[in-house]
Amino acid sequence: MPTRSSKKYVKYELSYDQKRKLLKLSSKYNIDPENIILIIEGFFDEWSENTTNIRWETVLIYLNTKILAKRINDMADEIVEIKKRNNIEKKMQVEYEDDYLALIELGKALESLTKIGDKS
Amino acid sequence: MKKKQNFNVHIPDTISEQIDNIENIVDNFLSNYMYLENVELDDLTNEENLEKEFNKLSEEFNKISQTYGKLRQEHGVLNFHGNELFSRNTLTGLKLGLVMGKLERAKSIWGDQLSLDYNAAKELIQYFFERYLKKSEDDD
Repeated sequence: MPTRSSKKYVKYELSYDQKRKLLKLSSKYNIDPENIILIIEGFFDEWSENTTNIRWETVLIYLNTKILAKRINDMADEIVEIKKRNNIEKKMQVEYEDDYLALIELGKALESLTKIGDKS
Repeated sequence: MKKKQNFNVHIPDTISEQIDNIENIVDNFLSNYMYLENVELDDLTNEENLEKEFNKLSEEFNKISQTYGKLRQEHGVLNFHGNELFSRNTLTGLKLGLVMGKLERAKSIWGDQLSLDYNAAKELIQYFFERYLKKSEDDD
């Protein structure tokens, strides 16, 4: 990294929990943990090189916006899925009702027949 | 043996100077590293636009959460009702099985004098048996 020599850096060592988080993310998204670190460092670099003074709070708003957008997307997908399942369930319930009527009718038919048998 | 790995993040001191809690930020960046990959820093220079966007999304999120909640609720109610209907049919089917037993006896006594289509009735009961009784056995 060419800019690294000309700039001063503070070395931050990941805490135990952060290390666990990193490794978890690494296996979840199938990405080398070092690469995740590089992405974060890359952002810090760009951030520091930007001439407009970008505040940390602004970065936070930006990230929260991304998170919200993703949540909305995921939820929209889930809504489609639940609607589908609800429709199937409604259809099933109509079938259950039909079955019930058929069962009752069959029961009655059998009952009346066996009554003839009981008389003997 | 692989030796215990340590991970360090190098933070430019111009940045670290303006940050009170580096641990927090690194935490946040770890969770959201995927969004950091393609950041257009120009997007970050207009704070007002960002806030507008965030507020718009918050509103959208609130709305969709409500829709989602209602659907989940409907799903719960449907599920509950479906289970009730299913168990009712199962019980009714079971009773039918008992009547069928009686029918078997009647048939042995009365034989062909029974006007019922015995095979059709048996088939129907078999169908219900498979649909309700067998299914609940499989679920266990």
